[in-house]
Amino acid sequence: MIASLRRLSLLACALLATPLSFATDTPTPREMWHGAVELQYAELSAASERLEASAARFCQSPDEALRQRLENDWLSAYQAWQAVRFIQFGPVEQNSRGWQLQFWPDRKNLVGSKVRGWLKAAEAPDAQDIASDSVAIQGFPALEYLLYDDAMDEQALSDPGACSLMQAITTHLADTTSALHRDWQAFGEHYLETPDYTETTLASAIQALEILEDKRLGEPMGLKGAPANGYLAEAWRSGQTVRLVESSLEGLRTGFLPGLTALLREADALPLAEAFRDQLDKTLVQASELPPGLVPSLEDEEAFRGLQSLYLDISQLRHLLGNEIAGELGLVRGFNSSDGD
Amino acid sequence: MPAIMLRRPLAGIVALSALMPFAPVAVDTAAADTVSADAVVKHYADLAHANYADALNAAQALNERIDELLANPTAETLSAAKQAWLQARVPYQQSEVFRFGNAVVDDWEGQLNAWPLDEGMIDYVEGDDYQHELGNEGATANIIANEQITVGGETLDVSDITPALLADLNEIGGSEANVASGYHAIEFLLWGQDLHGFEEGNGERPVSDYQTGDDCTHGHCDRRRSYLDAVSDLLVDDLEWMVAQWAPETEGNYRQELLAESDQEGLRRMLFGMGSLSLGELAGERMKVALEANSFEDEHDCFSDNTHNSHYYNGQGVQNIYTGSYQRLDGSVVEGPSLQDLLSQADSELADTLGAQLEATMARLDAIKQAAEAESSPMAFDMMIAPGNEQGSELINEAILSLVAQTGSIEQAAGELGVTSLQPDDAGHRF
Repeated sequence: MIASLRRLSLLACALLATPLSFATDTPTPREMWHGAVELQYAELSAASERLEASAARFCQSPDEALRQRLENDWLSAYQAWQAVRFIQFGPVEQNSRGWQLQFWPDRKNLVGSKVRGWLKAAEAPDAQDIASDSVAIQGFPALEYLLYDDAMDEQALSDPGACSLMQAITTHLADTTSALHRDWQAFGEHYLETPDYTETTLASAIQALEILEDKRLGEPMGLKGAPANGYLAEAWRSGQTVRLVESSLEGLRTGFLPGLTALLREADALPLAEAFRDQLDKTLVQASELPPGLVPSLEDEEAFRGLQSLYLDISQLRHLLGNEIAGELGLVRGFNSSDGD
Repeated sequence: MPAIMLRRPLAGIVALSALMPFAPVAVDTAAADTVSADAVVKHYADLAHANYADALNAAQALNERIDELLANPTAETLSAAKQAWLQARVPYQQSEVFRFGNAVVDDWEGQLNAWPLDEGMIDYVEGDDYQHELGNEGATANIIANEQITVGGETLDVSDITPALLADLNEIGGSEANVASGYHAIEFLLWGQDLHGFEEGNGERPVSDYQTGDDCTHGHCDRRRSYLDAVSDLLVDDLEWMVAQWAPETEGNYRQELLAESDQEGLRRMLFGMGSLSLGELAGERMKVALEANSFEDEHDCFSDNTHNSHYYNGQGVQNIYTGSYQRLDGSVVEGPSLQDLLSQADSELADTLGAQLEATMARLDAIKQAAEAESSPMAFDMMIAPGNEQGSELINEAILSLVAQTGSIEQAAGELGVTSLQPDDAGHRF
């Protein structure tokens, strides 16, 4: 019911959408960003719908092939989210949608305790129950728990309770990402008309790289003053930490780089755009050559060296954007939500 | 914590410096109605000194009440110690605005106010309701029950519980959740775990946990007594050190170092502290995370349920810096040349706007405080964040929005006052 309503409204929205006024010649940097990100949100929404359908199929006839497909669809949708995660402003801020999709880091295993809570509940939740509960139950990490956590060895995912919970979460996720895509389209006019969003977009990408360097790699690897702790990594249950990092880098390549290049061309600083692209490509190659997980590499010297190379490549990428390019464009950073501890 | 931006779409994260008006700050002190940046920064140091002096006095009172509790453990002496703890939070939470921007405070405060903590490192906990940090070996070390603990493959002798030992144990094994000292360790030792979840009620530690001989409950009362004694002594020692850092005419202390910096650097530290506490820390870490995740594990004062006051006095601290005014615990008021005066000279409209926004935030935080302290059916912070509590989430969301709004104006004020970057000076220091 909810899913079909959602699709109807999406269709209506597509029909009613007024074409955005594009400049006659070359698109401006913000036009390029808006268009590229729209495609990324569209892919996230589509991948989430595939995941929702896949969950429904598995629950109907749980077999090994459908389970494999479900795991693949979960990872694809999670990767589609990683690709557009560098956009940390606009519709994704509404109702903490970023956290709804991925509550992380989760130091105290809130995801685990919320999932266990629902598994023990007398009645399985529907998407509405999920929508009004904690962000920790709403996103990819909660699904990851159901698919991969050791505790699920004792309770089959195909059990009615667990399967209903999974379906409720995937439906909520599909609703959220569909709304996100629609709202990004509606946000276009305001985004294009407001010059400040050029700086906002840049700063958001810089912050995404800082998080990638410090939080997504540095902290779990033990490079930030405390010992390594694999539980601080994303997707430690499924062992897909590095694949998610790779998807974020690919997302910068397709969603962010074209607009950045246009911006630097306007500023007569094209060599900086080329340097950023080259470093990004080098980093992507490094990421693609590593094993998918982070935790096993903490115990393996050679694999750890590979991770360190990736960390250094990302660090250089962050420096290029956050120092050299930001300096060239005269950016001044203000407060952000990571200023706390 | 989850690294999601928390801001209105329009509150720019950055501003083009080319667009920033550089208002040269007046240094003409001859005219009576002119405030100089130099005087404002100097008064900021005075505010810090008065605030930390109050925090020290209140901690000394707490230490005395704890000594009385240990000398004669009764419901009355336990209650008096709790009251003294609550009172000690009033100045300390206001002082947190000095933390961000002044590395001398930020590097020191972990030993006093680290949070959230894995309290199982200190004392007994109830297994089912105890959620600790994943991968933290210290989370169940229980120093009170053990003369030796093993963390990170290292075995430590903790037989003699002294202030120095607790200082050394803080963040042992590299986990910030391993909090051996400070306000929250004392809070846990006075109140105990809050096992009520989203329901009314806070920690219910029996006073018999501090009795000797056969009256002792939960075992190891002698070590628990030593712990409480040592941890409250350490708090006093630490605050004495910080008061000295801000004392006037003291050779080589932080105050001298700060005042030797340029006026711009002083203003930057003031504004950085106000903005960081408002947005990243209070609105983000302490309110938004707890609310959106419906997580009482992320409640600030989770044992005592005093979170509403911790938030309220954080907000008060931000306002103090702006108005250059601090009401001391004895009721007297420290006043002097303020940031507000200085900003008024550059842009009186912005100065008024920011002043009104800080007032609005205090009204929002007061609404939370009133709800939590209401005589009939009070709603504490951990009840406000329960799933489906619309009234509670609205109270918190209003406060968050107000803090976000004031942060936007603090950024603008920085531009007006010629503070060109709010990034901390010491790039190696992590915020």
